[in-house]
Amino acid sequence: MMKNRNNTILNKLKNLDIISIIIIIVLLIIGLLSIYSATIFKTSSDSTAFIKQLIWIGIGTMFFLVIYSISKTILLEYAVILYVLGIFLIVVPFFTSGVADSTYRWINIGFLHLQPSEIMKFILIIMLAKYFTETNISKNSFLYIVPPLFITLLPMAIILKQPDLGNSLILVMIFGGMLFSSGVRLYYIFLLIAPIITIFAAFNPVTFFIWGVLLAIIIFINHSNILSFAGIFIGNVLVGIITPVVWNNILPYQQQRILTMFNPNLDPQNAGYQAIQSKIAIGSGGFWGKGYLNGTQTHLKFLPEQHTDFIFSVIAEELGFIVVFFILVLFFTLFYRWYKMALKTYEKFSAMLIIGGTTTLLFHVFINIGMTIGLLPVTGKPLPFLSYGGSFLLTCFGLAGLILNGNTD
Amino acid sequence: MRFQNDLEHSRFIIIVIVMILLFSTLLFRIYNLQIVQYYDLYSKSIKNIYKEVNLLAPRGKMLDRFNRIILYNNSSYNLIVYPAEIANHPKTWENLSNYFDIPVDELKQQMTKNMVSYYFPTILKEDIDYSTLTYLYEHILELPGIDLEKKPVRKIREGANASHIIGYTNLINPEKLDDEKYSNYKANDIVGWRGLEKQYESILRGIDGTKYMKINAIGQNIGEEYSMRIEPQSGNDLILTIDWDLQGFVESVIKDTSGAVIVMNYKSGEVLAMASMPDFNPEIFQKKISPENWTNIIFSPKYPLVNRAIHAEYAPGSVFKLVAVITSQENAVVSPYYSTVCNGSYKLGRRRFYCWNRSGHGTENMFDAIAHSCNVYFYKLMLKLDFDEWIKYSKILGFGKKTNIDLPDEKIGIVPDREYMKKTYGRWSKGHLLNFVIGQGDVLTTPIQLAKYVSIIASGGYDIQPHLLKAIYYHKKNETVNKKYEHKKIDEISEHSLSIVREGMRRVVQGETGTARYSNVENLDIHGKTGTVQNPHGKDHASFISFSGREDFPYAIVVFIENGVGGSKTAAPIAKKIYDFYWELNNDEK
Repeated sequence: MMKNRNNTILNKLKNLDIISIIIIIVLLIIGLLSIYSATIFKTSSDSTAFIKQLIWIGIGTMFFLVIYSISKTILLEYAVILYVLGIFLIVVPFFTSGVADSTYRWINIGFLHLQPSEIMKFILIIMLAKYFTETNISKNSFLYIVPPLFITLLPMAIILKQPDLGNSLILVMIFGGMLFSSGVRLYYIFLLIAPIITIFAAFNPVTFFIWGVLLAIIIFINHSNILSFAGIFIGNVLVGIITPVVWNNILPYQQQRILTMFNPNLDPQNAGYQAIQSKIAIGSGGFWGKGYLNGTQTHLKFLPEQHTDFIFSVIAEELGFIVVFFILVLFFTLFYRWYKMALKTYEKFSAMLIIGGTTTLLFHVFINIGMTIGLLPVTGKPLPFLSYGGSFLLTCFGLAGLILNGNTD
Repeated sequence: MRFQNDLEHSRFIIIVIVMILLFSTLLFRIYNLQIVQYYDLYSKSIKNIYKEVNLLAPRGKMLDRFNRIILYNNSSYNLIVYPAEIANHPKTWENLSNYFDIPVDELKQQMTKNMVSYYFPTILKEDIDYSTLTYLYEHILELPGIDLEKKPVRKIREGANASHIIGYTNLINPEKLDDEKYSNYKANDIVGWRGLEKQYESILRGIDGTKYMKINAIGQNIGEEYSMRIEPQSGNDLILTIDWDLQGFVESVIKDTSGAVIVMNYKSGEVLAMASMPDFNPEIFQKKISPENWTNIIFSPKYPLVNRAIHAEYAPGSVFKLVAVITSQENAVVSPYYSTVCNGSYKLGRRRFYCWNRSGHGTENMFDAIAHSCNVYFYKLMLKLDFDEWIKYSKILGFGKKTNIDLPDEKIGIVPDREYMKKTYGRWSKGHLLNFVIGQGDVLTTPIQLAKYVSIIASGGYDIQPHLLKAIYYHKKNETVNKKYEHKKIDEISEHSLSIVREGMRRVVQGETGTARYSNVENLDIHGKTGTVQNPHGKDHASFISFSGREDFPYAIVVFIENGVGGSKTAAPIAKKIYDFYWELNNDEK
């Protein structure tokens, strides 16, 4: 028995996708060098960031191997229990955090700081994969999307309350990516997105009207049933009418809070400054960069959180467009390769795991880089494999393990 | 496992397309920042490395007509403390307390009084003396939390004050910063508030420079980047028409009075001296002015800030009679030999108008009337004149409008014309005019207007432009540029009428019975006209306008003394002293 299992692990290791591993190692090396540069002149405990990152990479590698080796059958079996456990973990900080804490993101057990929303990403991927694999509901029925919708909304709402807009959006992306890949009718995805578009369209009568007409046409084409047509359409219109009323009736500071949540640049003291300095750092790197260890923006500490959230700016300043382009190529190759694996793999569960994991990392990359170049609000999501940070690095190793596990038979 | 993968190829394609879109969005933006905006952002990143420090440009000096520096920059030092830093060093307080022999609490109170913010340098002692300065410099390392701040101060040359001409500088009024005119000023910049400092602000003000202090990786200054240094450019110097010796003398003569004296070259319009009393010490405005000082100045019943030469509007008194002389001659109303009898008063309707000499002057022609300042003659003359013509010549002679001397906020006085009379009195009678002709009642003039008036007469009808700026010295080009002033011939006034006025004025001083006969100066061919202004609030004011007829001494002097009792008694003797002094001074120099 024992021997048998060892054999399967060995077999699995033989099947490990070597190109993915090489890409990840290259990314890790670039990250390590940049962390060194970003923290070299710091006098505080951060100066050991390079060593710490090395240790985390070691731990991460073991974590990767565990997830990679774990049997998918076990994941399928324990998915529900994991899900319940995950929900429990993200609720815990609400009860254990002190009054002084304004956020409820962390669980502190002695020396260990655990961010349960990171674990929730794995669990959601496994849970959704299980659902899409085993469900008996027809893909042609709207009911098909209701259970996964609730599976996602529950943790998403809790994480949003922590508050952690970035991670709750990541959960939505996981859901969207997996739902889309499961083969659901595109029209149903449209119906999910429609109310959100309605809310934004409702602030201007013209856009609201155009959107209404478009909506009616699309619903009409897809529905023979006049009742459901009317129901969906009127529902959307109601949302549109209520939104401005609600908006105008909340207090200005609440409006401001919502606006800064979506666009922290509105808070120029803090986030706006970060965004501007990050753009200066990136732009001033030019094509060849200022040279390794020569980034003035980096070393004069104009960048906040430069070795974690803004590591991309450090790389762009010191190593220039040439290396940045290379990094983008690496990520693209990696994600393309993984999505391709999802296409080729034999089992649906494996395909779903791969889709979920890859989508998570893809949006992390997009949100992080988008933030450093001023395209997206500053949400504080790190860059996979490059940013300093234990919790998140483990997530990345784990997701890679899950994805490559999915690629094995 | 049981369930076969059913991921459709078309969906895979869509996923890849979405991925391409996301990555190309990022790439496009990064390309834009790193390649397109590279130079802009690179220069911004360079700026981040440097801390900009302002280098104060010295303000331009002022020189008198003989290029003697009369206003220059000097340094004063303030002892400043950093409240946040000194809080950690109680020893500094003790040391300061020992040195100044002031209790610690009192020093702390002083700091609290001047403190703007806990993190801002705060003035503890202003304008510290030399020995204190040396002591503090020597011991600065033992006194953490303090610093010495160098501040430029404007210093005036000994010998005169000239506070009203020079004016003073102070921190810019924060309200002015919104004004477009002050768009290149920032808070705490120095700006001219009064006098020539204000008038020629744009010439005097230099252009501040910048030095760039390089900051190292942990934010410490590691010295200046000299290649980036922008040197401050000194402001340009004003060369004035003032003769500093004369200015000092004039000030000393009228020191104990309230009033103004102007000495002017009536051919060129150059003002050689302009004194207004009481005056003030401009240096007090450069310090943090104490409330007591401020109250003393602002609420002083004597208004020391007012430059009486250009800001004060007085009824001119009999010196204004010459307007009627000119009007009568230009309009050919009477011959200068037209005579009339003065019995000491004149009755118009039911009202009686008196001459200053109640016993009467007897029979007088125009020259006598000027020389004796006979009111009755002028009452009668005024009744023969067309009021509109009189107004016209008043204005041609410079009254009721600015002389445009180069000092700010000049007043215009009043020439009561028909519109004014209607507005002020509704119905008015000829009785009013009899007051106006002798320079009483509603007629108001400034001493500088009188100076221009006498210059027109003395120069033979030229519209003399009074001025204080002779030339500008531009530091950068190292060149002195003389200011040009135009003095147009006034066509409306003939040499005939001016010669009659001048003959009358000659007799005032040089005639045996002239009102200013005791103020004659030999050889100088002094012409003059005295005036006494009725003052319902106290003693009458005294005025005197005069000029020397000598070709080589073309100077006019206007004196106006508040409560001076009489022109011949007070004002004319002052002018005489000044003529004496200046004639001697000029001859000494030769």
